[in-house]
Amino acid sequence: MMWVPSFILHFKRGCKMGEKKKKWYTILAGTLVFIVTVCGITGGLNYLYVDDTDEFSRYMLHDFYKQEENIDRLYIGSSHVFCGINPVILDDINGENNYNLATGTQQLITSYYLLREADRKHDIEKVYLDLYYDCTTEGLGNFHEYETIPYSWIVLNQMKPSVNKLSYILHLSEPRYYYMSFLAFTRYKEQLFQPDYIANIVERKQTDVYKNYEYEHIRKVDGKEYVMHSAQKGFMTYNGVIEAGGFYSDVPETPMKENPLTEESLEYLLKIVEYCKNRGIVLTCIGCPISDFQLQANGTYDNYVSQIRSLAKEYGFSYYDFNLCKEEYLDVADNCYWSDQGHLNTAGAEKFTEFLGKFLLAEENGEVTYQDCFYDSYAQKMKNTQERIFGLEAIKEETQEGVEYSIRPIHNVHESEKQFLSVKVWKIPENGEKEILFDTVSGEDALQVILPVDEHGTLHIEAGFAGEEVSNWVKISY
Amino acid sequence: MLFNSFEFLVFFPCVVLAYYIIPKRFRNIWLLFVSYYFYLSWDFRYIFLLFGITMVTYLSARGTEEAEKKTFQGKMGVYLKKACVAVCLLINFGILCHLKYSLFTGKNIVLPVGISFYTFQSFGYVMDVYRGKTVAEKNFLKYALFVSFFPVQTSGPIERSDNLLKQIQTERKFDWENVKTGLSLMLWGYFLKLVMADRIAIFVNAVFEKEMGGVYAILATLLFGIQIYCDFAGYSSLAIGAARVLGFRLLENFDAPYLSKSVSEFWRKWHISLTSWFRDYLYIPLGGNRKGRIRKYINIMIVFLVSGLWHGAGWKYLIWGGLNGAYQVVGDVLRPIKQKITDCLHLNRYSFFYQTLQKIITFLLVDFAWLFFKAGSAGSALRIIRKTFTEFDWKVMTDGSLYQLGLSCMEFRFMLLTILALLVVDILHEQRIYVLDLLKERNICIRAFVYAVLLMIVVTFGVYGVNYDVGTFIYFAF
Repeated sequence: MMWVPSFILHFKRGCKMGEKKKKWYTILAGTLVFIVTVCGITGGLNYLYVDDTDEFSRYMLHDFYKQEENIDRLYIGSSHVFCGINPVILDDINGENNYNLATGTQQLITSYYLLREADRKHDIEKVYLDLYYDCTTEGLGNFHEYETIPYSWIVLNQMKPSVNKLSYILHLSEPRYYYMSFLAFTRYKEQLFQPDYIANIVERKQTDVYKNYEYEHIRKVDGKEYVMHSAQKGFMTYNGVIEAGGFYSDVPETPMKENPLTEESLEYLLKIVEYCKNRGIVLTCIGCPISDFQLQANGTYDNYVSQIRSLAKEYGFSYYDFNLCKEEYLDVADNCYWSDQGHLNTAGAEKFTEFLGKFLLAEENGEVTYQDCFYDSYAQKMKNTQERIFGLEAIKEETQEGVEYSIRPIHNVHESEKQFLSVKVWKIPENGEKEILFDTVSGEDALQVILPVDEHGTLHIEAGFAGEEVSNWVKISY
Repeated sequence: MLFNSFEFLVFFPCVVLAYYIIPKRFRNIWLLFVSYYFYLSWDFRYIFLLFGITMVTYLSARGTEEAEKKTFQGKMGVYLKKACVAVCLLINFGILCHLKYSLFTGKNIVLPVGISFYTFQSFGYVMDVYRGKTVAEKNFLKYALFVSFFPVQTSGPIERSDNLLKQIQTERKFDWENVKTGLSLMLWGYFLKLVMADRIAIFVNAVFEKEMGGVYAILATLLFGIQIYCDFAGYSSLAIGAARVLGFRLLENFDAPYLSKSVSEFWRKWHISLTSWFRDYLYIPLGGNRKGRIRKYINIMIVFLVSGLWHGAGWKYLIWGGLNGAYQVVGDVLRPIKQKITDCLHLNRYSFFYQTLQKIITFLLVDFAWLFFKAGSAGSALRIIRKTFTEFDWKVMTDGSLYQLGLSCMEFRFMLLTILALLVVDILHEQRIYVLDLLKERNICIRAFVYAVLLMIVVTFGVYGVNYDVGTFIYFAF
């Protein structure tokens, strides 16, 4: 006789008897009650705890799922994409349906699954994948690590249930973190007994803005309010602008190593390449504009570019880095095009999108070549760009001697011309008189200022080049 | 691998599924394999110890039985029997003592997980064979499973040959009732461990680590009594439930111990498998209560001092065991006086008030002994006791200081609510009303609803997650 597992026999025997037959229905009813209760409680707790009121991906994906017209060209990547590429402008240029499916700090695993999500419903012809170095290199590029998983959760929260979503969850993290991917409220354990937090979330979720999927984020910088709005097709308008003093940063840029792409990033880049190849989609990797202030502060951007170029050559995809674009074609160097050091504002987006659309169209038609519009390297671009100071960097560090500020003007001034750089630093203590700390005209790259821990006031930094008036300045409270 | 680890949540369903799929004749082999795998997950070297103890006790039991049979007759047979047991005793307890009590000599040896449990379990079996209570198992694989059975391997209950071994020897069929009961017991175990014990531990650990006195020490000591109960009863419930799913019925380990009216009753209801082991294999062989009152008291003290030592190498455990023994001796000595007083005062011994008072006094006595158990050392316990009187300040109960030790006001209240719920369950248990049985009588939909709610309570309020240390079962250390 054929062997049959005992638990199957148990139910099989039960089925033969009238009484037990009834049990099947009751088991089914019990299972249903169990599932409904678990889902109901989970839904309720998610509503109370999960804070997605300020997540752009919520509005973007909601709009995406409503799209009925076929998406022909898809743009995926980080915030630089949703701030920099306006699909409505592209529609006018190329006459196709363009869609921006970018999300904040989008890692390549997210790009891969969002591409699949879009491809489920649409017949996509071309995909433009932004390869922002911060999202693909050490740190955010290690997207299986617990610290970076939340960047995927903000997208997963909004994705509709599907096999694709399940696959995303299963491939995202180690199994021990699955519960947080499946049961979103468990990520908020520290808020479990915080009634104020719950009340705040519920209040925000009760607003019409939330209910109607209208994104509005107000960002306060130096007492001024800048508004971010969700526009059509995944684009976000941002009215922010760099103030008159120019770019300023208190966060050090991490220079890239020779081999910056993480293993995970490379794995998913190749998966995207493979997927596009199999589905007949034309893949183009791009680099959205980042300010020269950020790229110069990094100092090693060409390492990244050369690696992506060799990958593009090896795996057969195009790569256009718009940070290498010649100024006569795309000039967004002016502060008025930037909301911060990494993101174009609405005016900048309009300018960049127009160029992007026209260039891609011309390139497809063979009217223009890469060499016409782009430099070979970022170093070459800097060499050919007018020498100037892009902004000021002041990195704060607490030391035994006091609070130390490492001040550095970020510029593209040649070695021989550095003697014409001038930096002036002075402090105004709360109850004291103005005191000049530095007034230099020298080639020194960084100045160290040490202030007493118990002293408070304002630190003024000014910089200029070649005898011109002050071009950059910043005031820092210490 | 512990029951509250993610690995176990993957391991257990796989084990159960395969267990019921494979033919019955392979089930014991499968369980033996997974039990060794379970043990292997700690450290592969432990396997040799487990196997060695299994082999020694197996051969001793076989030798004991053979000595009594035809080969050796008369006194020779008796001597040989005793020699077999003595050799087994020396080897088993020699290893245990060497590993466990090296701390007394200043050596720091990592104690193999569960050694105290399976050493006692296997030696109990040899004693049963010696006494003719059970027949020596000839099948080594079955015996090896008895010693290594994974649900009881690390923290008991310490099983007996007439219970677990007998079940291993018989064929087990799939029974849906067993699976349901087992899973609900496991759910209850998780509730006790994750929702109650681990939450209480946050406050208790903070107080004991800082050696705080006054109200803090009193509260933490009271709460530690609840914590260790929830921790160990939770583990036992998980072990009993896991075994039940596989078709085994293990010994009960707790019987509402904190509702005991005397310390001796408490010890009949607390860690029953260990207490009964000491009773059967130490107290009775020492003479029990058959050799006069003085010998009885000495035997009680020996049993409880050994019990203290069983828990670990340290004077604190010895004091803890000594206190529990002394309570019983003093209680027995004072019993006639107590009876006279109650008669003189015309107190009704069966009144609710009298019995409740007895329960409270018993709890306080047992709880005071727990202080030594929990403290870092005997010296630390004495310092805490001293500080309880010298730093006593009622204000901390009302000024919010209590909530600075890891549990917010809301969490504290929630913790008290769960303690209240446990008290109700235990009171019902004392009345022989079992919540699980009450549930069984209900409609399947109601049952499913209750189980779903309990599951979600564990998921929502359980203490687990990224920074959670799964190795926090208190009895896991023994």
